[in-house]
Amino acid sequence: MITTVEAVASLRPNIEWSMSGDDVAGITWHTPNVEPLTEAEVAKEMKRLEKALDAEQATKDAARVSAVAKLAALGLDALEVQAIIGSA
Amino acid sequence: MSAIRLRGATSGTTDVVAAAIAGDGVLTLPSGTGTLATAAFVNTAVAAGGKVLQVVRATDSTNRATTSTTFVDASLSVTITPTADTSNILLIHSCGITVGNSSSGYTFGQQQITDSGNTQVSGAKSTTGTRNYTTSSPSFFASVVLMGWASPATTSATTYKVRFMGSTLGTISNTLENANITGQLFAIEVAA
Repeated sequence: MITTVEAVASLRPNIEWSMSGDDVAGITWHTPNVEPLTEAEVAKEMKRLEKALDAEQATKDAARVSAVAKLAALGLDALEVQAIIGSA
Repeated sequence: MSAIRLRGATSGTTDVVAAAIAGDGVLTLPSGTGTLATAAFVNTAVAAGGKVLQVVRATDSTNRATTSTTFVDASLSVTITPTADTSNILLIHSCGITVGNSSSGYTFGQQQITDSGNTQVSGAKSTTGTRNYTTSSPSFFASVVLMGWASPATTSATTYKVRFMGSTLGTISNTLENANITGQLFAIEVAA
């Protein structure tokens, strides 16, 4: 799960700030001349990062399924595949 | 029972009563001016030897996050008024932290306890981290307890506070997870 802190850090990389709770409007920007963020911007970024995380996990899952299929095609049985990758 | 009766300044009386003992007892009053509640009238033989004289505790249940590369206030402080200027103050801070890095490399979160002038109390600093060069966006959770020892040499109210930061090695977020694990700061007066 993506947190507000992660979303703020993603939107304002290499910027120094402090925040209490999830109070985006109350963020103290230690780096000068930083454009403040709105709650809506942060909420949107949290959704985008969640989607990216889900997509990354789906890609990993698909690669795993593909690898298992290729190993099976080489003649390895389920136990042998499990011995290599941990679980089939 | 024998007693000495003192008239009150405006009304009433106070009796000083001798204990019912067979032998002769002696009660020696301390020099100086004050009341029996002041440090001047405390029997140092009783109060000395590292005894705890008082405990003050503050808590925080709101998460606090920062990416600052220098220490900033964490909104948690205690104020203690030592009963003697020879007392020491044992300070203890406990909290849970989540530290995250938007890239890879060293990932550290730091806390300290300072006085009100932001001077760190002796020994009151913690650095918690990982040296992971390969993983992108590493993050971790940890429980942190740090302790400090102060000798304020005063009987005036003295404030101590928690400060925190990410890391000087890069832009790293340090979150005090007070909503999950209540942050605590104790100030314990210890007799000299």
